[in-house]
Amino acid sequence: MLEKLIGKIPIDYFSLVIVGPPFSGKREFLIKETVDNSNRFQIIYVTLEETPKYIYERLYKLKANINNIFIIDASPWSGVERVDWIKETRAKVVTSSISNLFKLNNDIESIMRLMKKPIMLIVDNLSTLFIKHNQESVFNFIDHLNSRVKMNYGRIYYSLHDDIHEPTIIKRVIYMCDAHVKIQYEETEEGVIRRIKLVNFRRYIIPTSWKNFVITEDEGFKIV
Amino acid sequence: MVKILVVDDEVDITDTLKILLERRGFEVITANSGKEALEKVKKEKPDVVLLDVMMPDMSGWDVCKKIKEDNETKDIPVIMLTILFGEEERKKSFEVKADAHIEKPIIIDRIIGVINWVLKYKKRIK
Repeated sequence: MLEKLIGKIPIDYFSLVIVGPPFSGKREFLIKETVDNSNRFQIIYVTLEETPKYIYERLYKLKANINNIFIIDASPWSGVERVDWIKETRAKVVTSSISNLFKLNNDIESIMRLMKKPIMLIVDNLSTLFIKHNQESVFNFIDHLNSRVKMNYGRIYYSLHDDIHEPTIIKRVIYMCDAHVKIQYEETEEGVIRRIKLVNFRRYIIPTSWKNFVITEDEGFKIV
Repeated sequence: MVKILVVDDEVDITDTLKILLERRGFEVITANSGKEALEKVKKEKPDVVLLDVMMPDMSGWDVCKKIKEDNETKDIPVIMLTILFGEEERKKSFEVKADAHIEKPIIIDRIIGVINWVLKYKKRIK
């Protein structure tokens, strides 16, 4: 999906943040990226907002190579619901904690060490962490992940909600990442559309433009 | 049904938002001043408040501050709506503990996305 957006990706190891309003399509973009790369990368999908069941079923439906995907569940959903599903599923899931950044970081590190390189780490969604923790500890968490993943393992994708944070948070996360992708709503004569654009890729000049997209149940995120 | 209090001094805007939100299945009550908004927040206990920033009697920021200072109403999510573009305005909304800040023009999908997020996720996270 990223290649469809920007053409050839200039480097293999980088960090990217996708920013857009809640429910605008960021998760579907990340899921599509996971699907597209699931044969080439070992993928760790850290879900901080949606249930692991939802993420797994979406990846399965869109025909991701499930064998190469590990889900770290640090979502705020009920434990009972989660345990029942984990018992029944064949998904590789580790339960971590949204309340303890140190534990979350350790869980990510432990799984990364077990996996073959290159690794793609998806963190969906940073907004949860900014609501739960003080800003500086979340920035430290991002900084640590960026350096570990990029130096040793592969690429890292974050999502971050627009509209619900003060501007300094969004600016700083964008500054901490190599690439910034933005989603926004736009009013047109035909009605409201959603569009996506690569805003910046540090050190590279990549000509980009807004591209309209849709999300369908069977195909997921699709540029039109 | 989710109950939303829409606050704007312009009746056209509250009427438009009422129609658009009701079409999407929300229950909508309206207020056309800061004072009326504070009364309705106490009386009606809405699930979410959509609050215009620029109003003649009290600014939306002052209304939000009062909602968030009151133990009875502080957990009601407040979404600021404004025609004011800029970092300072956005910053000010979060200083008064608003849950979101959306710039106009009104794009209903964007507003509903924020409402749904606040109701589905934010309460659980906190």
